[in-house]
Amino acid sequence: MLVIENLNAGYKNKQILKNINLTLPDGGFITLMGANGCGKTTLLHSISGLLKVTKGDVFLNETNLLGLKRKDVAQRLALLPQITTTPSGLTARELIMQGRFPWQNWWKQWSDVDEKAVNDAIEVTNVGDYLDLPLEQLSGGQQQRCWIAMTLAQDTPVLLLDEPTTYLDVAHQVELMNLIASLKSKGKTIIAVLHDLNQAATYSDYLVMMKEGKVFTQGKVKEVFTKENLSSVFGLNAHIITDPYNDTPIALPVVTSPDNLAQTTDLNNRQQMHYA
Amino acid sequence: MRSTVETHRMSGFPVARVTGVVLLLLALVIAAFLHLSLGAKEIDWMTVWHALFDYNTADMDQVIIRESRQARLIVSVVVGASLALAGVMMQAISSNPLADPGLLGINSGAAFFVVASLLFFPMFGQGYVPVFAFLGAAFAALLVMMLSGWEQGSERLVLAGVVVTALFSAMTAILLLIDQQGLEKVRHWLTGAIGASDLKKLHWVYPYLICAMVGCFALVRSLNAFHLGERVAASLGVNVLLLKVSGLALVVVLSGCVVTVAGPIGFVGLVVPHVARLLVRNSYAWLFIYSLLIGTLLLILSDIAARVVLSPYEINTGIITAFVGSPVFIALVLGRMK
Repeated sequence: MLVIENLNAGYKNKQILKNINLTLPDGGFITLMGANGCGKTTLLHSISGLLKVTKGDVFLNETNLLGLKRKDVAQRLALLPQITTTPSGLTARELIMQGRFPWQNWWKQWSDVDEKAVNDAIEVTNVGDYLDLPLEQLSGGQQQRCWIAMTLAQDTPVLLLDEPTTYLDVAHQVELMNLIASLKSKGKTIIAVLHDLNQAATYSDYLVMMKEGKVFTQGKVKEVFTKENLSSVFGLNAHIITDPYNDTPIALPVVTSPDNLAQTTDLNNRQQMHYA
Repeated sequence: MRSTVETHRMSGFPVARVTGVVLLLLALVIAAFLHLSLGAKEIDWMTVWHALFDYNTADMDQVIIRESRQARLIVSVVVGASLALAGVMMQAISSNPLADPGLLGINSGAAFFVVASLLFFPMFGQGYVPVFAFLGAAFAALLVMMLSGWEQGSERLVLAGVVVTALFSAMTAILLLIDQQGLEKVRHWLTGAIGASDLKKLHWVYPYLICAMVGCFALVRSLNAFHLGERVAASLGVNVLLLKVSGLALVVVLSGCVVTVAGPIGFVGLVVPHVARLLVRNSYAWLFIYSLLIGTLLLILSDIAARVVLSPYEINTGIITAFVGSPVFIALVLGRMK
């Protein structure tokens, strides 16, 4: 169980997270949602120790993570940050092997445990076919699978994923989301930041909605993914229906009424005529 | 569906890389023999052999080799190895392929502090020269970091380096004007000259050098993780700030030692890591080993050229490395702009 108590964090003079209190259950898919700049990424970074928090504590199974050494944190909790550049000259295999970093040191280099962890990660993510190719030659979706494999090789009970599907095309997004959701059956707790509302609603067990550095609301998807909450958190006017195949809520953004639509078209036409 | 789980062997004996090291070592031995036999006076290989393994002080040629050329060779080896390691480290921690202790003003900072110390604090013994070189290198490094703001892979870093280099070179020039005679021998040293007398200076610095070289290899694992990006490295458990600070400290020590011994020699730290990366792409352990060997080779060959090109006159070795290095620098910049 991951318990966050009174967490405050930010950059230089700007406080971003204000008194975050969260209790996140084990073994589920938890999604952090919120408009841009609400502090989702900052929260992930604070939990994993990338960012020094100004106040508060983070407990994982009663161990205070903030008091641990970087490596000890990395043995309990793996963060996959948003990847913006592909490291040069590495093969997929070499990338995945780096996931074992927190478990190694100078006198204990490559062990059978490392070998097994990496092999398991390769099997789960199904990247065995392009292990020896340079990352630069792989597609975005394949690269992202390799990054996930690296994170899995880290062999932690908790995975933090910061927008893992950004920059991928739809088919690859779905493929990757299916992969991530399947990790639950391996006993992993997944905490993800997702941009796509419906992806979040479809795959998550638990939602945390954030607004302006605070937790706005949290709970099971069906309880929290409501018209009112989406309106308050995102300023989005949407209908909620139930996905007949997955039995999960879906948000359908409200389109401006036909009258208004006609008016806008009219306006456009008039403007065009004006220019002509 | 695959019924059996394939297992993937992660490590094996790196045949190609070890072979490469053996070949480089072979090239080094040949270059070393060439270095000893070529020069103002050409000496045949048999005499070189005898000078090394069956020394006869009555033979003048053997004395030349033992007293003059051998010292130069040793200095070239140490200088080449140190500059190459400093270059790899600098490029690694700044994530900038154009970083080099020479270009970033670290060498000229060290040189300025050494010249200033000779002028203003003559009461300190020569043993303090490396200390002043370290101080100067550290000062210049901090100045560059402040100006460039540690941005990853930024052109600002190189620009800041150019400014700091110009600043320290100008200040050194002023000092040389103040004391025309007293600093005459410094003038020669300032252009990156390797000479037989430098062997003595090597004794002042070798403890620092050995520590710094070991230090470089100690950071290999963290550097490999850092190559994946700053945030990924941090989430894998690397203390990024500590890594950068200790990497920079190692660069400062390596550069300070080289400046103490041979003056500011540029471009080796820039060129060598790139050549090494063509041979080994990804592992810092191998990158360090290859760079060390290639740097040594480059410096020996440069020192041969320095003595042969305008024979019987000698050019400073630093001038040769600049001739080799500046076209590579231009090529790298052009390649980046594409």
